[in-house]
Amino acid sequence: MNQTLASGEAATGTGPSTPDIRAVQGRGRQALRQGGVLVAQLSAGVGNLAFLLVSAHLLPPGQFAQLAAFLAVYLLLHTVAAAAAPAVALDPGLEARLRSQALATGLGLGTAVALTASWTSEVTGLSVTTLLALGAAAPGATLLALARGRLYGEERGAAVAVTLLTEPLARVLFGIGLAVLLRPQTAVWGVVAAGYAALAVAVLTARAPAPPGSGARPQLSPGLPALTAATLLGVAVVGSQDVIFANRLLPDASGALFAAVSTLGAMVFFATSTVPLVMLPQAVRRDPGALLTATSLTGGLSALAVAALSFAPASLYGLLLGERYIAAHELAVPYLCAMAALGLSRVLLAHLCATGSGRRAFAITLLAVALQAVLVVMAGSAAEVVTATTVASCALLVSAVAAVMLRTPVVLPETVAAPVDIPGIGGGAHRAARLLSWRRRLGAALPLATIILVAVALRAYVTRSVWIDEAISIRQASQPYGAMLSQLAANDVHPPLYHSLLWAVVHLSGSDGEAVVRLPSMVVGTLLVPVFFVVARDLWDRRTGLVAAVVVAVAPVAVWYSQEARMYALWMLLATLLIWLQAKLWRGDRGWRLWAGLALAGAASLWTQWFAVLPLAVGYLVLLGHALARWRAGDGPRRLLALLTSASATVALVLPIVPIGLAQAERVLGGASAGSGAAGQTGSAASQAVAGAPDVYAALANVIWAVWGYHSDEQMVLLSALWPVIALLALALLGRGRSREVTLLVAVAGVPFLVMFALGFVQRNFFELRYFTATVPALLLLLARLSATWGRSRLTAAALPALLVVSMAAGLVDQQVNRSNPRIYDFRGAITWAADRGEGDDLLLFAPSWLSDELHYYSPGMRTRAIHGPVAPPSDGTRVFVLGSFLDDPATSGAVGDVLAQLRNAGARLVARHKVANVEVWEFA
Amino acid sequence: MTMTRTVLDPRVADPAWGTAPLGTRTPRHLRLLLTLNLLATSWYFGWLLDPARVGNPGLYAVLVVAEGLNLVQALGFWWTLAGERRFARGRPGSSAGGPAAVERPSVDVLVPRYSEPVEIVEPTLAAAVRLRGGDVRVWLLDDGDSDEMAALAKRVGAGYLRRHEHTGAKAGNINAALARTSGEYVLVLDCDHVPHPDFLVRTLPAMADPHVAFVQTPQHYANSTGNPVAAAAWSQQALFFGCIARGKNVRGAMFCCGTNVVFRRAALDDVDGFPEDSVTEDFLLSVRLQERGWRTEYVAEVLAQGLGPEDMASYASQQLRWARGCLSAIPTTLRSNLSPRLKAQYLLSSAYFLSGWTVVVYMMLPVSRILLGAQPLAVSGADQFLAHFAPYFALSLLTVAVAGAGRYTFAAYSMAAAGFWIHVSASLAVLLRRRGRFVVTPKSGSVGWQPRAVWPALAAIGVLLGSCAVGLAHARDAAMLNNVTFALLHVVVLTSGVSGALSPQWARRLTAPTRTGTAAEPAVEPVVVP
Repeated sequence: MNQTLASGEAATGTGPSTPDIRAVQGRGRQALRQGGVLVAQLSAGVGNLAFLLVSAHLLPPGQFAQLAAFLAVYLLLHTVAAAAAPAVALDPGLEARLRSQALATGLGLGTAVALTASWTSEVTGLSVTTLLALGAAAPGATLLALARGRLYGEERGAAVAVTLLTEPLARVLFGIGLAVLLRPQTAVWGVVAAGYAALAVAVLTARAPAPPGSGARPQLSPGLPALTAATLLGVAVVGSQDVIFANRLLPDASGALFAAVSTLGAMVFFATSTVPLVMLPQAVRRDPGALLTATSLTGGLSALAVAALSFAPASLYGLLLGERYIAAHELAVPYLCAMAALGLSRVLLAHLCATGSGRRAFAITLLAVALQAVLVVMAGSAAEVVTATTVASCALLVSAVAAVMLRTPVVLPETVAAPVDIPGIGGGAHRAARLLSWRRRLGAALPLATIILVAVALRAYVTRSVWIDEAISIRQASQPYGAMLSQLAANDVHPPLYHSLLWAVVHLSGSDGEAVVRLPSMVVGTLLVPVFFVVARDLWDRRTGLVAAVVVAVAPVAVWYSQEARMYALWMLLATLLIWLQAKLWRGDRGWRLWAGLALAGAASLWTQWFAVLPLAVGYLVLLGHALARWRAGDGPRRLLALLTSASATVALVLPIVPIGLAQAERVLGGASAGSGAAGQTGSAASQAVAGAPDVYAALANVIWAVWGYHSDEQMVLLSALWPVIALLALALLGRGRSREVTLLVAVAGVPFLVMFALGFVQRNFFELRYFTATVPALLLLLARLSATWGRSRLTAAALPALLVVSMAAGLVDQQVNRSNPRIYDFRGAITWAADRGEGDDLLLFAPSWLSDELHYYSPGMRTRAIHGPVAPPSDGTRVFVLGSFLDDPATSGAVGDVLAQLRNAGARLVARHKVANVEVWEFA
Repeated sequence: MTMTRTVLDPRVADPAWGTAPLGTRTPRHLRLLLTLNLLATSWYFGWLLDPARVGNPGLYAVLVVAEGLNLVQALGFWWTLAGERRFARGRPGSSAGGPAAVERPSVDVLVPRYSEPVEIVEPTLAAAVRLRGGDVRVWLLDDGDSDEMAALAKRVGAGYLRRHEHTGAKAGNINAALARTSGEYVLVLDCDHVPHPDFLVRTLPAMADPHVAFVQTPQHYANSTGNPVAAAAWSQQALFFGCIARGKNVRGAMFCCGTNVVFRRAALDDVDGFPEDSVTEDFLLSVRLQERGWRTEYVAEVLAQGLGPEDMASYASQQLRWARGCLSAIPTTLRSNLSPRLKAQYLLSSAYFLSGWTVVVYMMLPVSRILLGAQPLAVSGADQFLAHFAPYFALSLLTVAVAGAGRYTFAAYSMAAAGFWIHVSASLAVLLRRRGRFVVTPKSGSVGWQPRAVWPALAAIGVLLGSCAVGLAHARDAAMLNNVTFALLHVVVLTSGVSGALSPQWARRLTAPTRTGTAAEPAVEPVVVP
């Protein structure tokens, strides 16, 4: 009866039902249980770390090394044995059925280890005592896994927490006690005893009566527990096989560096390992809040860890891992993100298993294991291993999310009614109902919040130094406002909105640090994610909204410009708003606010970039055509008048900056170079796709940049060779129909692209993505729409968005990490290197001359001068540094070569040479 | 009982498709597109035919022949489309002109049947006896000699004809019936095509012109919404019965499609009935009628609904019959005394069934480049090829999409491409003068596992994938990657095309529709996409 009532209410949205409120109260308990166990797990981790640190101080080095080695093998033993825990958590009855087998297995293994101890000792270098302790621990490991599994299965959260906490406490007590009281080498026996103590606690606590309701569970299909165990073991393999491969395949230094990174990652991964186990019995009962609670905790904790390490200085890594592993700080954040994704995947896959999709979960995991193995084997450096694991983890996460979404359709509450008194629920009914409403909203917002978090993390992980154009903008923004505007009019080619924003940030914060000057772009670049969601949801549906949000969150170009102190991220945001307003007006939405918004957004985009006139004009022309058609159809001229008013307002709002524009146009048309004489384009000299007249490859390159980001020339050539995929896409478009929204997006993306292509024949550097960045949002929205709706079967409906997102994520990783990217110029690395080695009397010569703003920004603390004319050799005790970039430009490389030759001929000695991405420094004494 | 069947049978529901409305906007857009097409075609072929492009001479020649064949088809398609404007203004007798007054003429409705079951035939007969607008006599022409059918005919009030010698297949069956009936007009309905009660009301006015031999109407597949093979087959048909048939009608070149067509008996008598020496008797009949000076008409309204092929074996069987019939009609057409315009239109329709050869050529090119290093074009840079080919390709697709009102789907294209072997087989059979036999298209299919029905396409997929593997094992440079991608493009198209024959139980579950059905929107026909 209640069920029927609940269904009816859910369908009509009249209010929360009794079962709903009970469910909310149940969810509160779930969250408490999850949180309690998680805290215990974290505390246990801290306790184990404390035991290790205390041991390091107390034990002689040799004994500590024995203990550390023992702990590593002990951990491995328990990790393998713990694979049984999920199976028992699903079916607690397994504990009794498997106990004798587990004991026999443990005893057999322990006996084998003990019998071969003397031989193994010689091979491994572990002492016989240590090996005997390991043998003694084996039976306990298997039994402990079963006992804890039963506790998880019977939802005895407190008992799980106690047994988790018992182990580190007992370790400290027994291990340290034995080492102090007896001999140092007995510490390992303390660890073994701690394991048995935890087992004893687990067994004893399991004798208490089971919590009410924990025994009620649906019949499981045979084999599901085993599948679940295998799936979670597979996830553990993804979490650890990379370090095994890296150790085997990479050179020692790289292998060690990766091992250091993986140690940090493992902490994040293991921190949340209890979450799926606690969730499993709840998921078997189909508790609606189980997955939400588990993913929230895992995601939140992982995000905290990633955020903490993102802001940690490199020195902290040196402190934690040792100075030789300080380079780990460059790799730690992406690897932690990968581990966070893996942790979330583990929860989702466990949920899939518990709800009857074990085969699917297992298959997905196997694919991820294989994918990671292949990628890791192909990797040649620690960074590539990190990339491999990141790709595999993200693929696993995307697949798991897709599988869960396919299985559980998202049903959003249309309305949430006011709380009502419900007899039998008690005084907390109102509170529970409010909680229900709040939780529903939270549940609806959680996917977007997660996507935004991912977007923030991706944007916060900056891998490049300040680029020349950024340095110019920062210099301009550091001046008084009037002077900055004069500079813009006299020496720049951009309107003043972004510069004004940057000016305000710099002057309000009093800093021009990298993080500060890039903050505006980062904020608006992140804002693009929820805006994408809202726009796509409004134009189409929620599913497309979510896909669009994910797409723009990982879109390489969106990330790139969110990390650049320039106007492009702001332009993309404004362009997205413009598209939204234009689409709404075209589909027939009415109201002066829309037209006013159109005028404002249009003017703001023109205040940001002059080329914004193209998409704006396209939108207005489309609306003009629509207005005229409506007029002809007898709708009257009202729409046309509104459009003309809006366009006039746009023009009026732009009038104040017309003098700046005219001054810039006069100078550019008069033949003066743009800006301060800097490179016409980012990486112009290095990228083949921007040389010569615009051609098909240039067009392809721009499309690739827009969707998959910036890559090395070699990769761009290979990617361009894949153009038949576009032909396939065109064929696949057949019969897909059309809509106003899609037509508008095609027009807004296509027309500026074609116009700039044509303009490229007049001024080559115009045909470069930066100048039609506004097409990127249109293109991404289109792709999101296509991938979200083209799949007509369950398989393709999940596979197409996943394929798009994974391919973009792969492009993002390569764009950010690959130092062969011709747009990555490590000026900071080069200048810092010189600054570390030079002093005030030294001289730094640089070429080309437009690097002066870079030298100013990353002040090397010595005299600097652009290369021109003869150079005097360094006098006694001083040094001369020569910094060269854009060396594939013959004039620049000639100038640098000339200086180097002069210095050598004058008897200067080349002391060192430092090469970073696209920048090189020579040190002469 | 009857009520239940009527409700469930899609053929008696309202058609989910109508030919595109004949306004003025679409033709204007089309004219612009056609102009752009001509420019893009000149741009591409001007580049392609430059002697400097010749790479491997043999492959170059093959490529040029294939592109030439496609060009002829494309030009023919555009020429056919270009006539729509005049049609939109209305021609005498066309649906745009409205039905002319014809006083209750006598009409024999002929429903040939061979082996179809009662549940297929009954709705057709039941609907036929309710036809308005004429003095109607319905005849079930039973070549299956089934007493059950005789009882059915009697039950619904139709006449029943059976013959002693079953010669001449469907054509012979109809001719035998023509000899035993006498109506002024003859409506031919395949036994799975359920007519609308106003079929005659909408078509007979076109007979006001005494020179009109027949009035053809669209052949709609009512089962296209629930079956992916039928949906793709219908998508191919929809383009034909949309803009192509309208265009052909304007050119006076609409031919008979075998069903849903009403004839003037005098015209049939003039050419001694249906030709019995072809598997596509309808096509040949049209040629003969027009040779004798008769005119043809097309009413662009769905006035009868039938069943399309429901599985790949049925589809292949149907296509093979059409291909053999149309290709074997080429010599007759060439020898005929039709006007050049009509001759060109008929040849265009026949030559479509050669387009499978072009698919073979396009598949062969990346394979030869990967395995042998030979390519048709000189190494002038793929960018040059792309710059010239892309506009031609994109505009051609756009034209198909616009002209077909979005009816022609990727599924239709891929199923046509995966049926390349049908055209090859049919043309070889015609060349070798092997006689085909009339095979009735099965009206109910077994969706699922039919790899034998598509084995040539599967073999092609194997060859393409093998080439890719060999190629990638030898080199991974841009040129190799480009050719491998090309090969994979074919693999994707072929795989999509044969997917209807490769759907085991698990795959059907996995590819179960997420929304209203796997079927594509009804959409297009024989159009060569370059």
